[in-house]
Amino acid sequence: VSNVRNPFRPVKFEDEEHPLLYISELAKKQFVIGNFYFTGKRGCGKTTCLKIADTEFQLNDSVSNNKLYDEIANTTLGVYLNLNNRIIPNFVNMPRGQNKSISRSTEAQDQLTTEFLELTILRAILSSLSRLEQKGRITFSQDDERRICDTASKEYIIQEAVNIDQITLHIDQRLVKLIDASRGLGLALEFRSRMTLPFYPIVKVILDALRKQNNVSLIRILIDDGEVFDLPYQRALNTLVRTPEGIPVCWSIAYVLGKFDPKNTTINNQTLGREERTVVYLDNQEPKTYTQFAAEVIRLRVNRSVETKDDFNISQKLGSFNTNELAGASFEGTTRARALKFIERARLTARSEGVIPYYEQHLQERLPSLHPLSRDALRRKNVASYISLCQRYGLKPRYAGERVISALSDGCIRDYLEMMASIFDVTEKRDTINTEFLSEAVLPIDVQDEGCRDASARKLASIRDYTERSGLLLEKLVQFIGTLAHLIQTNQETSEPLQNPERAIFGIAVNDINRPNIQLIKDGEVDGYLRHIDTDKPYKKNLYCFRLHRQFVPRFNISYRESPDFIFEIQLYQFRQVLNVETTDAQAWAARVYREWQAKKSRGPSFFDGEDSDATE
Amino acid sequence: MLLNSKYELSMLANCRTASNPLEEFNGGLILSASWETRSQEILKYLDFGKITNVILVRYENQGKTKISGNIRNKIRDLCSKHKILIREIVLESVKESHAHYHHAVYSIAEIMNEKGGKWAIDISSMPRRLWCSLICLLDTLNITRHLLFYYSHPKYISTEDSYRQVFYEHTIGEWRLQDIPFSKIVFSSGLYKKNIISTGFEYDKLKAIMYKHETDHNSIICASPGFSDEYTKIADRTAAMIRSAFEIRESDIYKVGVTDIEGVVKIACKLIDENSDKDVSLICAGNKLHSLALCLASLCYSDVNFFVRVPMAYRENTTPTTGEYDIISLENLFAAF
Repeated sequence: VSNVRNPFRPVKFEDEEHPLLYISELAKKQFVIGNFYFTGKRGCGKTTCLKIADTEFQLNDSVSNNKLYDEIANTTLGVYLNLNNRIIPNFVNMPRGQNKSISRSTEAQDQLTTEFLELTILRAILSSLSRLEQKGRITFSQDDERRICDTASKEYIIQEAVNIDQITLHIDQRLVKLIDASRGLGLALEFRSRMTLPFYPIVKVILDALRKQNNVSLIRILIDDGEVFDLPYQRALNTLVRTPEGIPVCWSIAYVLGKFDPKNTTINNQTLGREERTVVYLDNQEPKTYTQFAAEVIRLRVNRSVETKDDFNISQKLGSFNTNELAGASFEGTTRARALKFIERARLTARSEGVIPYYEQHLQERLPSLHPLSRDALRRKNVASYISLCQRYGLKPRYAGERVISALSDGCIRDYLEMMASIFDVTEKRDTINTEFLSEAVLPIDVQDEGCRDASARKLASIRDYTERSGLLLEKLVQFIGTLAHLIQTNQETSEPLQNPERAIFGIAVNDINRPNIQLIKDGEVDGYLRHIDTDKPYKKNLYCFRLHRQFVPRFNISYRESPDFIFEIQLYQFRQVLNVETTDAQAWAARVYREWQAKKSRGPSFFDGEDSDATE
Repeated sequence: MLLNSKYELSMLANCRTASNPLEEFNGGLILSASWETRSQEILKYLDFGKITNVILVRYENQGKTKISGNIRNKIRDLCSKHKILIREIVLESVKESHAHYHHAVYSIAEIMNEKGGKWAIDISSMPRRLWCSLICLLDTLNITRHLLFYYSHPKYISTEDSYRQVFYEHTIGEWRLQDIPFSKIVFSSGLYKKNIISTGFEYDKLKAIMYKHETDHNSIICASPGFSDEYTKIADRTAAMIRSAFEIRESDIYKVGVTDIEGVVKIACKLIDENSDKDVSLICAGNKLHSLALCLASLCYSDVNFFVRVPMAYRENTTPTTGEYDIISLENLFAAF
């Protein structure tokens, strides 16, 4: 296995020829009844969740999950639909063309939007049926086909047809006419106002046909990248989800968080409630669920690369290191007199053989007021103390261990794989794949740390190339915020970083969160470089709070945790300075912002920081 | 090369060939008067005495330099001198609606049908949406047998960004992908996709397209060698950046010379055939010669999407010519002589 290719690349499963998929418990929910709205940032696994529920995809995914598909998915017909790169007509403000009355009526425009959506979904169901029949996955009689076609042509303005392929063509013709009408082209559009949704009666006929000769009792419609829809389409989609009329049709909709309205419908005063759909936040999973998910994905990846290795255990491989072990690794090889003296002092306070209480010692020296027996207080500040002592003695904090790396991935499996890919690269560079990576032994701290730092640097460098817009500016913002976070957490002039540890959430006071300045932060959130923080504190309701994605942490030598109690407020004018092309020195900006913040604090009981101080006690 | 048993595509001439077939060209001419001085390059080679009809595409907005007005007047003078009928089609630059392009192309095809004969189209500064949709419409109507496409090579003026990287910036604002009038519309589920993208040099704009339409299994057709050594260098750098940012495999990057239209058609057709079970989109986000090739490739298939990139606005700074050109001949074997 000397030529093992990196099992963790590519990090996007869509880019793999034959991906191995781990089906999480969340994704399995789709195989039973219920509507699910999957959301999260880019790269959190939304597409995977949807694709595995598609019946055609299951037929092709013969590698990883056949047993599961056979056991629980065979009674559901999953139909995947992704409208990215497709034409979606806009009927609102459509040019008049030959459709004078339609273009004036909001109600007609809403109905056309719904009709386009319904026909697009219906077309996807029908063409999926046709392909699945060709593959022998399902069967239905000619009479059934006829019945489906008759119902479709009765309910919609489409020509009659004798089989599914023909009716699909007729649906295409209607869709083209709808698109042309939205652009002010073509002849006058045939339009009839309708009181009910004709979609479900047709789906009922399809389901009846499927039940007769197949073991299918449920149709699940899987709509990916829901954010490509405009608001009218989002409302139309929610309306379809809201009104199933007793037909066993379920919906799974995936969208980028914040870019889809999962609530409003086209029906007056009716919104989609919690009981009608479950919103699943994929990048906000419980740590235990996420760790299990990541472990399974990694095991599958390693198994594919090295067939003999089917029991790769990421938890065992990365191990668990306490803060003092990491601090020990940081101090290794140091020759600085101050550092050596500190080690001696720490060693003297050791209670047990071999374990040197570095962080406790640093806390005692920097925060003499802290009660030495207050173990909880000490433990709570362990990472903050480690970060601070590294700065004090000119060391680099080490990032290693399963818990730390899982935290650095910040709930995003793509980022987890990216870090694992970097760690693998380090072992490859050192020619220790067999002895270190694939052996039973825990990976050394320095290997893990180097991998995390490489991935972190690469993520920072990727901003300008990978963001949708304003890449350079966003890269600058991350640099500036990271530098400021480092200063806040490691400042040696005061004991503030230890009193209020792990201050890494930043807030900007704005009255209107739609201001262009805040848009840059929002873009950064969608692209996965920043994370929005919801603060439930009433006295901070005007603050738009965010933090860096944790994968940047090694790049700035800061803590991989952040305290929700301590929010560092950046003034709007200070934030604007970052956007100014003439501000280029991150260190100088961070020092200025920090100085002003300290000055504000020292002037008297600050409204915000007063609360912070209370929180520490 | 024979295309879809319907078209005979050939690279007729370039500046290195001994004679320029335009000197002997006898037929109708479609050209545009834009802010590009390249719009008038074709006039150097034509014998206006042999031109039968002229369709002039012009812009309401004359651009910062008012060049379009000068070129328009020059062409009108030539037409009046040689007593040639001239028809004008007015566009409002990139903000023009789909319907307007639809009607404009339809009017052009109507005139072409009415007058008959051969037609030469100068695509140097004509909007892609216009001439690509004209090709699609003519494919349906089979009314014109001989088409010549003339393209005058641009000499882009490069600048340096804040990282001291040389770059060209030709357009303003984000790009969006747009279908063109008279092209096929494909309604598919998008479960498996294949995007064949011709790329140029504007990385930031390309990136936005690729990012927004988060695409799996992309193939990139990169114009290398390009119009100049510097263009080649920047196009290669752009392809490398796309490859690393979007994890595209080396084998999915195709480097094809900017003037090698047949090469691009062959690669596109090969990729479409290999991915017949996927939803294939041909995306023109590079130079016009490659766009022409992708447009011709799209004619061979009934289930392929064709998109062109449309910027928010053009800089409307004139790009001089390198003095080089290409002339491509397309013969529709189904159309009458």
